[in-house]
Amino acid sequence: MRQRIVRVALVMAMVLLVGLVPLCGQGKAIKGGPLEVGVLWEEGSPWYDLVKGIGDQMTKDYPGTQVTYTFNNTAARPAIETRMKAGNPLDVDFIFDGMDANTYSWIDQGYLLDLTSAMNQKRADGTTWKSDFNPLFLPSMTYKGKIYAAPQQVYTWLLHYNKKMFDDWGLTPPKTWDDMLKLCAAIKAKGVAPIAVTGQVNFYVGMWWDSLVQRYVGSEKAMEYLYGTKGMKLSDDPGFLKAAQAMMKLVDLGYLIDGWQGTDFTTAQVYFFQGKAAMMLMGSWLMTEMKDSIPDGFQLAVAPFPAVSGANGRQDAIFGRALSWSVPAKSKNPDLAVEFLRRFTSKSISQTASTQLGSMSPNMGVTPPTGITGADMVLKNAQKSEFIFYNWALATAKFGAMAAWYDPIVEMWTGKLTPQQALAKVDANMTSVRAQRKAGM
Amino acid sequence: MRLMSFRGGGKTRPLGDSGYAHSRLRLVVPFLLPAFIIYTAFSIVPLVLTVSSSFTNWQGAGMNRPFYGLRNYGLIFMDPQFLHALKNTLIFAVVGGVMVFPPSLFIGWALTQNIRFKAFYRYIAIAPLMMSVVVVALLWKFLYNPVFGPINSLLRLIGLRALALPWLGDTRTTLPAIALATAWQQSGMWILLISAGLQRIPPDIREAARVDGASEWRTFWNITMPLLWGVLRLLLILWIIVSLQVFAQVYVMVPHGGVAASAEVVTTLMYNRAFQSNQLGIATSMATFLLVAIFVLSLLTNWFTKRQVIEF
Repeated sequence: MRQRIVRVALVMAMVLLVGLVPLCGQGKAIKGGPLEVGVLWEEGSPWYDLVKGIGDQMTKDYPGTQVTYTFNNTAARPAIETRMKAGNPLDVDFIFDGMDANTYSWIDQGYLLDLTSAMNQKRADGTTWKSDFNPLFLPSMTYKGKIYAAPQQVYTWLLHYNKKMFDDWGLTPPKTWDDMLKLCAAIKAKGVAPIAVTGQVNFYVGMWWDSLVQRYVGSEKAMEYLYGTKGMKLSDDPGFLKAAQAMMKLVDLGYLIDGWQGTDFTTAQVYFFQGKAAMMLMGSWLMTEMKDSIPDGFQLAVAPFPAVSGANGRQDAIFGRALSWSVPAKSKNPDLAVEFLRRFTSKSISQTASTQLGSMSPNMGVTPPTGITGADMVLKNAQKSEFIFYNWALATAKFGAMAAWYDPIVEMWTGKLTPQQALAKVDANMTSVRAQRKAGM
Repeated sequence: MRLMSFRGGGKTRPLGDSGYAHSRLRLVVPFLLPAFIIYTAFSIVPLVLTVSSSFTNWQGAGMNRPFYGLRNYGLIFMDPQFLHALKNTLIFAVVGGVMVFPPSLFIGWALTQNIRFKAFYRYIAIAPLMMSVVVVALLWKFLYNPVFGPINSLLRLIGLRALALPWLGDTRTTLPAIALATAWQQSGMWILLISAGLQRIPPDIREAARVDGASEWRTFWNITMPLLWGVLRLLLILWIIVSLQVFAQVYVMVPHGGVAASAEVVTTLMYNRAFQSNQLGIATSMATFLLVAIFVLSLLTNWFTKRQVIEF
């Protein structure tokens, strides 16, 4: 009988303890239950395993928790967003960015949970969840003064290069556009294509265009052109033409891989890692995306996009975005989802991702990845420079704004249009987009 | 003989006319009902929803669909991307039609001749039809690869380096290249139906023409073609429907519409507007326009190709 009382007391104490642990941390108990988490990575990939590790721990910490993982990257977005609209969302999703005005409707129509109080809740050490993040990324998290997302990693556009090739040939990454042209000439003389690029995806060609436009005319003017209603023309600023002409030089001088027009992006990336091309302008996801295809001994290094001397834009600005995750208002288990998000965006997970997967972290105090030469400097510089949402957030803009902006530039690169004709075509396209926007308001 | 109705208890009695009709109805309805429900749920209802949504400003969020009148139709016709996609769709239909009909006619005719291994050739000709559209698209995407694709490798090997183009990367070749892949797959069906049509023509008609001194070519044009006309008309209308709705081949071979949208067709643009821009109102108006265009073109084709039916 006595033994039985002791056993019951022990069980009760454990139940109490399990219940109290979450209460101590967050102020209220979190109940276990089903949790459907969005994952941008395929099952079996290192990122997937990292996310699953968090889910496994949640299952242990909150009995009754069953975590499922649903692919929610580009190809799955239509289905995922349809689910959101139908009131059956993922519990943790990648759907909003405070720097992308095209995603504001999710909040305006009440689809996302306000995370402000959770973000500002003080911990025992006086810090908050919000204070974990570099203030540079606050705009990504915020809309109308409230926080709706937590950033988990940062992507930036970088000039990737083959370090071993550069070292062997005594080359250094270009600091200016003039350096870039000289460097390309030197690489071409060695029999290797200077630049790997795909013509199949307009926004990958567009990376060159956007970067040069930013350098030549500055982001404010570019955004005014793309989203403004003043009817501005590209000819109003000679910087646009200079950017197009600079870009055209890469083709005229034969600095792109053969068949770039018909090469899909994965193949273009493989060419780069196989040493058939020396450089590639690509997002910082390249390293992790191609991890399994990188040959042994390949040394990847990165540099910021070259500066253009005497041009109007901020020459240290970088394009990128913080991948910010949200909890839908109709989450089946909002407390559990917020707790998952808190762990997913924690400093410790971010450090693991940085060290093991080479990702750039939005958290304060996380050591930058060491596997990619130059990545630490780029991120360090980013903190004091201008951070522009990549593609000027055109990917989610309506009325085909992305095609209107990039397609004539791709046509220019194929030789079908001169720089002047390309700009005139962009103007015509954007005039139509503006008219449609106005009519379709 | 009279139909007997079977009742409980094993007794039977003869049926009158109304009883027969009633009994027939009781038999037919349960068989038709599942098909009718499925057809209504998956064809009629989506069709009605699509057409009705085209008159709304549905942004895809929730079921809020404010009435918008004909403004979406105005918007799509002021959109150069839609007009470009429409032009591409029509080019695809014409170029693909040229690629699918003459070879199918020739192969279909060849397969009705007395040749060895006819069954094997027939299998080879029809095999692409049994492959999934996605598999065919991926296969051709590989064939067209500008660097390691077999087509360009072969061209380089035989000294035709200048012809080794980036097939899916050149604004002039992307659409014809996709049309060729589509025609290759579709030709199986065309060959099958043309062969069947040719086999239906009694051999003595052609024999009589030959006896009268007509050459093979003349026999083909003046005897075979008119007798095959009904089949060719049907295939032409089928091609219009298939080609104007092309989606999967384009989406798989050039997921982003090709270089500078050189292969963007109405269906891929519609998909992008619906699921990337959340402009469901605009997308459904494109879908409705396409539906009407297919209907009208099919009717016109049917009308223009009408000939006197030759009984044989």
